[in-house]
Amino acid sequence: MGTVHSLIAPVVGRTSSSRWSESEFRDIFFEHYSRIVGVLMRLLGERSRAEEIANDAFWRLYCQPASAMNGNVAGWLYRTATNLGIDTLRASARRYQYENQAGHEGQTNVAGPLEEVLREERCRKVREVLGELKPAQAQLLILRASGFSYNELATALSLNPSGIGTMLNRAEAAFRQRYIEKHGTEEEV
Amino acid sequence: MNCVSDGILRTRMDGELSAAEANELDQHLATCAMCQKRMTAITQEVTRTQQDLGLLAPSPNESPSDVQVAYQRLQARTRTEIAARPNLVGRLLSPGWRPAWGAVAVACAVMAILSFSAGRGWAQRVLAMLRVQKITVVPVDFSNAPVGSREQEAKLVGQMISDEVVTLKEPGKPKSVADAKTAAIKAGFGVRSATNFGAPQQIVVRGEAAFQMTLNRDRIAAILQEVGRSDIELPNTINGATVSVHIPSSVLQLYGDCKNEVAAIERMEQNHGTPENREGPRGFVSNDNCIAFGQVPSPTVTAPPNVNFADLAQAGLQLAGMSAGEARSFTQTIDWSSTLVIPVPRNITSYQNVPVDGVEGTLVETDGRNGASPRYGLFWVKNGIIYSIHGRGSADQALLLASSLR
Repeated sequence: MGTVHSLIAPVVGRTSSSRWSESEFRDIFFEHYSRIVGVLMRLLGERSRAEEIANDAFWRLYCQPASAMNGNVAGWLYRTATNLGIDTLRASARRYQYENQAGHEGQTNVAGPLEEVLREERCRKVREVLGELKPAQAQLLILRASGFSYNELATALSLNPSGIGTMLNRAEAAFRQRYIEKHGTEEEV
Repeated sequence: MNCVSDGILRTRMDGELSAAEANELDQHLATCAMCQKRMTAITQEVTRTQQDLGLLAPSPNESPSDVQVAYQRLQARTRTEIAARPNLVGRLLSPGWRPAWGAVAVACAVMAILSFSAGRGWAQRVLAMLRVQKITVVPVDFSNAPVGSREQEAKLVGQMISDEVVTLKEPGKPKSVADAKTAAIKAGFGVRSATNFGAPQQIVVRGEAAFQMTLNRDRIAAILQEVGRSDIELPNTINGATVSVHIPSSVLQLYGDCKNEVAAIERMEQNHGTPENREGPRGFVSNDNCIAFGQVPSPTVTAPPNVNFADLAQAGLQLAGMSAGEARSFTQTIDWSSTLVIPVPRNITSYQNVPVDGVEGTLVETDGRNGASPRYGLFWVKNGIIYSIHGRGSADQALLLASSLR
């Protein structure tokens, strides 16, 4: 599942004032930026887009009074970043559908090796299904796949840790069902 | 131990149970065929999903940019976005009309917040009226302001105005017209045009708007506290007080190469007059060769009699990020019953008084950021009409255009 990062401890005691101090905000940025970009890269498959959205999430954080974080800056950041990522994913899926209908499908990948083309197509389908899940379920799956522990998931998504296992089961079942509805069972995902 | 839920089995599979819990469950699993079967099914499902989502893992050569570089990028954005906040006159005269009403409403609310007695209904006498006769600029450090984005600002405005805003007249969609004469007929005032930049590419008229609002002191106090400005004091007497705003029809003319701006207006005409999110007034003029010339008769703000505009403005300036001392000093220099004050970012904007159109105007220039040309805005008031020329590039263009108005 990847390295377990510290998500909870660093945010304690950070939100005593209404505005961010330069050093306070910088610490938060340096602590979470790379991981957030990693999550968004999984979600979107494109580094530049992921960085753009991570930048947007931190900008929105900067615009929030520090006191509005309720002691959970990291949770706010991951929720915001993944929500923005899911919105982008959905927009991409709509654009793909439109281009597909317009006969533009495949123009970007025809030059690559077949294996890579097939892999990209499978990734696209997985992302498309993620984009159609309830945002909370998509967030749970993508953060878990990014190496979040149960405690980190609970903090980031404001969930009860004891219910995470059940929620993961449900999210995976919803993912599988939606995938089969869209793409059938004849192929491995 | 009894059989456990799928959620517990899943938690065990993920290694998230405590050692004692895991040990107890393992003992149960060793003797319970039903739970073993369920555990196998869950493991298969998890493995399959992990394979699916594992496909999305970034390749090792796709690591994020250096975090230091990313942070500098965010800092640059912070400076740019704060600098790009539109000012009141810019909003009044830009095609992003709707925010202008919000800005005026804020001005009214702030002005009305502090100093008049409660219990005076709107039906009572109309007692004080603000009519713009001149414009002045106040440099403000916006980084001290409690709100940081236009969305938040709009939300704050919505909360701050009052619980009861009554729209008396909707401005409707902006309408393109063929020439200045038609614009004058529609707008109801003498519309002027420039003569040295060719015919305007587009002339747009926006209808008049009017609304009134009733203030709720507790609500305003709660919002100020929320944004960390509980130090701004509100008198107990404002609750229920009503102010009224009337904004006459406005006219905007575009000169030069304004293809993008014309397209934006056309979209607004189809979109109930609301600018698209990414095309707010701050970014409206995107081309160095496009100049926007706006004109609107002064809006009027009507409020109960004993309004102390200076105190009200002082509160507003503090809300915009000014210290109490600075706000007090500045407000003492202004005739608040007739002056429209434009807050501008302190560090990246320069401004100067310039002779224009036979009166004194204010030229505001903002540094270009991220390779974009600098922006300028020229504002003045003459015969009760507020004029604005804004664009990108050299501010000489604005003065040249103003010199040819007729």
